[in-house]
Amino acid sequence: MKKYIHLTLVLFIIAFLSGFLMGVVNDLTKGPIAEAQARKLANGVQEIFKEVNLDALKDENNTVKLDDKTLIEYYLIYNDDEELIGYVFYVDAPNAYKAIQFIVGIDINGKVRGLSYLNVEETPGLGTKVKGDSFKEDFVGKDNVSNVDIISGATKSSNAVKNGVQRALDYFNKNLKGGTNNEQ
Amino acid sequence: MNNKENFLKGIFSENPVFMLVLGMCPVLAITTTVTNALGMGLAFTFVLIMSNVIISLIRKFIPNDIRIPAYIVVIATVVTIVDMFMHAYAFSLYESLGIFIPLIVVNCVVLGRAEAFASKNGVFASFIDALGMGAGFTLSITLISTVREVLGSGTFLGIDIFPFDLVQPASIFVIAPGAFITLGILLGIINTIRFKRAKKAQAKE
Repeated sequence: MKKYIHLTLVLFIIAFLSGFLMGVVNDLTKGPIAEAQARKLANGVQEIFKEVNLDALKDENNTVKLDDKTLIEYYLIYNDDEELIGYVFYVDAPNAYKAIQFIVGIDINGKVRGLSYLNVEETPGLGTKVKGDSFKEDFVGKDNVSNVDIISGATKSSNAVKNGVQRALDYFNKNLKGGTNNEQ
Repeated sequence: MNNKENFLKGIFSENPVFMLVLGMCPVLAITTTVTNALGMGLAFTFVLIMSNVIISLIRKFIPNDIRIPAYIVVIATVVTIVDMFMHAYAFSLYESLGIFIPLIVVNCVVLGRAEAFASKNGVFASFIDALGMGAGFTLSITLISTVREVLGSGTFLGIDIFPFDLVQPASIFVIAPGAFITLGILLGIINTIRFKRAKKAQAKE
């Protein structure tokens, strides 16, 4: 009996210390992690809309339900003269192998300005090919993604990105086309 | 066994990948590019050193009956802490390695070294052992990933080494079957060399 109490106690102490340590580290790193994620989003927006002042991003965000499956979240992008120049959509790509999250910028005329990946968890060396510059640049200036070439070896991942961009475009055409008029 | 031998055994005679054939899941899964392999190797070495040192420190405190769960708790804690710190303070590194870090918990080399070495030896010896094993693991997966990246993607460290598309890369080396083929052939080559050497040594005697 004494032996079992001893065993339980030792394991309890180890687990307790481990839990305590992880709690402390979690408290220490929670802030910097959130900051790093926010910075990543801001850098992505800056990459797409180079002329934008980033402070404007924080106050003007909207979350809008797109359909039953996907929540589409988008940000209104203003230039320094407070003029609306476009939108940035947060897209969680549907039907990716594991996960692709990216943002896509659409200008006021409904043309894609560019995309920037936030998180890609596809098969390294295959699905991750969607991160390549030529694939990303293929979208720029288009208002329809149907003639964007998919990458061989990354068919499913490229299609997921294409569908994600198309969803953002569809949403734009349906609800946001015509600039600020529909907003008010 | 002196420190030098202790370090070198991780690279040669007890190489975790080619001799002990341990921790095969990450070896097969992440060796698609050399960058991945190097990152995984470094993260793995760091975790192995931490877990070996901690387990060696508390080895007299842990009763024999519950040593395995105790080791696993220690290893999982170390991995989680490394994961959180990397996410917070080395974001770009975390981006490229993020998915591989949790895999280290289930890497049997770490548990294997805790059980076979750190639980029986002093702190410094355990540290050297972890350093050697980490180096052996990193070198081995770098070798496998070099073969797979060069043949599978036609690149090395992301740089195109076959300009003008002289050679068409064979995608099979990037996917799972290519991993098994590469590992099998490399194991075969290494074993052939090893057996020849052993025969020579016998003939001399």
